[in-house]
Amino acid sequence: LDGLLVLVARGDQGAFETVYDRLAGPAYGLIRKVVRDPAQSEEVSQEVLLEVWRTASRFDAALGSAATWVMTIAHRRATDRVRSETAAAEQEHKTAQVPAAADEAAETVETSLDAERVRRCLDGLTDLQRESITLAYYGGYTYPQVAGLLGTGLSTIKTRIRDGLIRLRDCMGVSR
Amino acid sequence: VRLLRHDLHILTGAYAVDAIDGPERERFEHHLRRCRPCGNEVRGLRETATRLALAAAAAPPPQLRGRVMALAAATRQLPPLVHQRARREPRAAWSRPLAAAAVVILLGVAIALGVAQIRTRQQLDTAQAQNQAIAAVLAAPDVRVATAASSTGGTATIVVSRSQQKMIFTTTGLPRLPPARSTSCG
Repeated sequence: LDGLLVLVARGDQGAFETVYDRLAGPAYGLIRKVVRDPAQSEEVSQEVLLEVWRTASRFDAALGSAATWVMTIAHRRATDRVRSETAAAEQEHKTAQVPAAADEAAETVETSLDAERVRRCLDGLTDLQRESITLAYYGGYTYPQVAGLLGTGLSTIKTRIRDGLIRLRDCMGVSR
Repeated sequence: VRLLRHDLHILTGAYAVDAIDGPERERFEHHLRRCRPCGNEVRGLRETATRLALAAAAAPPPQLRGRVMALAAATRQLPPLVHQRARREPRAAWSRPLAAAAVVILLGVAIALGVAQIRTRQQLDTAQAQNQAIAAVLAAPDVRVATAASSTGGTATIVVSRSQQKMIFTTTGLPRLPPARSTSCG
């Protein structure tokens, strides 16, 4: 997949189609989790995949895998979308209401082998670790928002997100 | 300071899942540029987050593929960032002969300076010997000095010592010689 992005950077449309077939699903799934609205999710997905095409030359395999490069772009774009919307909504209503909790966030995990392993590893976390990571990653909340939702201190959430991810990393056998 | 750095390092997790915003994110990114272990940790945690994304994969709307491909075909791609190393390479090709030329020039200058120094030394030695000879004449017990005005203006002085068998002749205020005669004298 890393090699395919090198070809995409040279303008190879066939390589781009293969990258799309491999990563459009995970990107769209992640964006759906964060953005929720199907029409907006489709819009953000289109932006993300076009950005992959446009900026493929900036992909550096030494800094991470191709999948991570694409998912980082997808997650960044998705959170940008919901945060700017939240800001606009707050401007309108002038109410400091906390966004609704993403309680079903982890429910849509598909039952593939990889997904099974992810679920098993998530189950190995403490409740606070799992909820912090799920709300931050799938929910697209900032850690102060996560702290607000869970009623804990900021430094506790920062720490739980980090040590929870480290435990997940070791459980999934992600190379460092 | 230590506490602050520890505090920043804790943010690797939140940063990996985009849970930091605004100035705090900028501050952490600034820190990240200098903290190699932080960068390594962020990379590992991002790879971990990617597994969470892969686990959440969902089928995108079928019309999206065609639209993205059509847009891609009509979108110019960013050129790669040119690394400094790549830019330096052609310079290396002509910098070597330039360096060699500089060495040759510097060597030439060093030799010229050395020669000039030896010549100056010799001139100094000659002047010193002359001074010593004049001093010897002046210091002789039987020294005699005679001064007379010249017919063309100025004065001439003669210092003589019989014991030294030497005579010093010196003049002051003589008119300048016309060029023709000066060359015939030389």
